[in-house]
Amino acid sequence: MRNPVLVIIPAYNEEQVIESTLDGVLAFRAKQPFFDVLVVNDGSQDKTKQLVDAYTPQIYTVHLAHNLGIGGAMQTGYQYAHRYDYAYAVQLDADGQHMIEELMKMYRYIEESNHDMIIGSRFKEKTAYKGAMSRRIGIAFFTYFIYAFTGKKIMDPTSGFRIKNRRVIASFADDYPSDYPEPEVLVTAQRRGWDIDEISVEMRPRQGGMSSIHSWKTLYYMMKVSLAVVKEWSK
Amino acid sequence: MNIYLFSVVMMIFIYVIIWRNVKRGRLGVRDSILWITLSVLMGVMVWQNTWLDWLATQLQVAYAPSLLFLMAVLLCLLFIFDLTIRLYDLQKKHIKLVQRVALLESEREEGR
Repeated sequence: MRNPVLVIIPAYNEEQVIESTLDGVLAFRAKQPFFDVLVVNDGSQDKTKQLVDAYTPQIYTVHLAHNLGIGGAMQTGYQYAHRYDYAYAVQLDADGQHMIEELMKMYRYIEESNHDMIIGSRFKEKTAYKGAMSRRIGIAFFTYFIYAFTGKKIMDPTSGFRIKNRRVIASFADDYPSDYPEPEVLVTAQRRGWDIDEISVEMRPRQGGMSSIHSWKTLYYMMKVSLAVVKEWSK
Repeated sequence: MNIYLFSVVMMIFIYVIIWRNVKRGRLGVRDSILWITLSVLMGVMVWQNTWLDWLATQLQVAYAPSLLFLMAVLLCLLFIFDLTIRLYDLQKKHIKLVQRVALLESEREEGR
């Protein structure tokens, strides 16, 4: 018998942190058993696969033969959620940034409010989160960039900590951006008339491993996301 | 050997390579038609250089071989653009395939 919520953890070369992340998630589930856990191993080349397999059958696993990127991995998770008819799906980063303890708050909110998607936001209200200045400038840029196209101000447009309902899961299972999908999806939501909202959550800095957005990739990220937002808006 | 004879020899050499790759199944029919057509056109332009001169005059190009070079570059760009589109399509199909295989394997593992 499956729970109503599927927590999808995409993992690529996260051997340094995946065990502590899963330990935390399973410890929380022992107290609040309303969700299942799916780890999507995105073609990792380190020990992630072996470490994740050691947690079965407490968790579900999908191992991709090649690295598809965060979009491809998360889409696989949505396809799984759609296949097994989960009422809600939530992305939880493997690097320990997202705090599983905040999930109950997001779940209750989406159930009571009937929104299609709830974004866990670091910036809707003041939180303890202190990211790098460059990252915060980038997030502010996307907040206003997306606002210019959609008329909706999302204070944390790059947050991946989001819970979605069946309608959104079905859509993402079929079509989902391949890389850096979070901001682009907000324009998709507006175009398709999805009802989205933000709720303030606490997040931690990355607990280990390496961010995929670093050095020159930051510039590519800015350009790619900006173009994707414009492309999605013009559909 | 003058340049025109050399060009004809090169064209024949290219046709042989294309035909051999088509026979071995390494080049699709659509792409082989494209390459052969391109090679024939280039060969004709080289062999009948008066046609090239006429076209250059019409387009007010002072040095006719530059026009040939420009045409070659534009055709290459179009071909690369077409390849980019085909590559993206293959990429999307590859993603779907990898996902499907992974989900099937996961289903099989869970069924055990």
